[in-house]
Amino acid sequence: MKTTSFPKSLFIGIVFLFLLVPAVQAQNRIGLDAFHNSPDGFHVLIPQGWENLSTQSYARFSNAGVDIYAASVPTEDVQAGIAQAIDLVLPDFDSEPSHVSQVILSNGTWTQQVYPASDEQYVTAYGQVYGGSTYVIVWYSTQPIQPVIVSEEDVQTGITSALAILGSEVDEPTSSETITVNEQTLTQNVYDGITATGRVRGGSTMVMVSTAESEINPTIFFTLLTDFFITPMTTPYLYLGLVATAVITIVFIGSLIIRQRNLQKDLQTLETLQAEGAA
Amino acid sequence: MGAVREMPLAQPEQSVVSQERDRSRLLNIVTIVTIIAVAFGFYLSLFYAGTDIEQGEVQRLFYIHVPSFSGAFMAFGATVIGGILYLRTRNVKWDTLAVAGIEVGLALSVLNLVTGSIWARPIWNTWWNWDPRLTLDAIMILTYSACLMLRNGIENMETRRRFSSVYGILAFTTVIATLMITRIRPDTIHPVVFGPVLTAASQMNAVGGFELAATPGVATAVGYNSAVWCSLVPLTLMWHRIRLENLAQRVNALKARVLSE
Repeated sequence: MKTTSFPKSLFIGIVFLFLLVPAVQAQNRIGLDAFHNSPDGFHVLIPQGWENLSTQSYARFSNAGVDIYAASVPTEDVQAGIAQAIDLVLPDFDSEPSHVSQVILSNGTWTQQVYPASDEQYVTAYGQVYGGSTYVIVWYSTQPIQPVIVSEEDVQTGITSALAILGSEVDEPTSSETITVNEQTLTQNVYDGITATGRVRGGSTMVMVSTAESEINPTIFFTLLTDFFITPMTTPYLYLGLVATAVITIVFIGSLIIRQRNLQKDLQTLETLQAEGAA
Repeated sequence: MGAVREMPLAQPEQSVVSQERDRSRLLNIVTIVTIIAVAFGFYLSLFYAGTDIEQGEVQRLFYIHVPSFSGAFMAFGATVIGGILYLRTRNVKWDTLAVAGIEVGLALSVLNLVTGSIWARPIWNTWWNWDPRLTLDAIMILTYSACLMLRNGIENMETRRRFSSVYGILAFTTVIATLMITRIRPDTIHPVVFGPVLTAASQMNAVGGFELAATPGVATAVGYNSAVWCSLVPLTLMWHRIRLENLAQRVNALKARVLSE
């Protein structure tokens, strides 16, 4: 009786364990759509309200004439990588950068390439080399809005430097105010026909320069850039851990088997001795 | 203090042989079920669960690291139960359970420690540091290792079992301390991924934690593996170890009988 009821209980227990899989999986779905997970090993936040037009080759988010792309290319030359990524995501775009600089963000140092506005195309690209690949984020807009990051910790100096990089000679702003967008505090300067919105993050000032009225949230691009993840290559350590697990398991189970066999041999010997003694 | 009840000696009756055969068959079934369950757990860990975006593939060691501690906890818990019941009843079978718990718990603790160390190399940039959790984990392993060594050094069987029972009960405090330290101390970098945190400050320096819901399949793999490793794995291993101990006792008893003849 005992030997039949226990297997039944065990079977029920195992079935219960397997039922946990879909049950827990159902809970798992919370918040999974927040990131685009690229098979190339990078992960980027999907901006709320933006259309996700990503493909297997690159991430693409679109909103009212603005596209933000993220891609990886297999080169360690960052400038060549940015050029290759632009060829991939914007095959018809043909221009040389007017400004190249290094910017330090919370997720590492990025190479910034600002392209001159032409044919109503406004492009800024950022590239970072990691593990043999260059990861690139490209801002592409058909509206006169363009981002620039400068290594300045003072927001007003940063905005002025950003405008200079884009070739805008400005005097004092006609107005300067602090605004809050998505719980982020921004400084917004209005010049004659130009609006520049900036914020300091770490040691850099991020600036979005616009010469037109736009409903595009200017903080989206920078949030996306700073939330950009590159998954580290830690696979060899996983393999090492699996090997260590196998070794420890084999040693322990092997020791049980060897001890069992030795004891069985001893038992046989003793039984033989006992039988001989009795005879 | 009742008399110690020893195992029945060799030349078992027919019914005992039949019972042993039934138990062996049942153990084989449990072993096969455990192997299948663990294999399915590995499938969930390596192929079903998504890759953690911050830690990469090494995060999958988590599915062995945490469940192996759960298994060790259950095994050491069995040692406490065996120790208490031995001290109360003086029945040898409870001592057998206690020693099986120590050995299985030790094996699973070593697995926990080694996988944790390998995980720490890319995530903490070190194989080992004297973090409170790691230090206590090492103390726990050394404490139980010492128990096995000291136990084997005592000739008198009754004294050995009494000593082992008391030691096994007291040693469990190191398991509790290891489990709780990351939930209390603010100076630990070891993350708490699930379960209650008793003081908010205890996780302010944690490195390498992650949200269960952040990556698809993680909660499933963690839940399933923890359930299997804290139930089937220690149960099966301890059962095999108990069978081994019973056989050893039988051999020792027969040896004594042969020598006395």
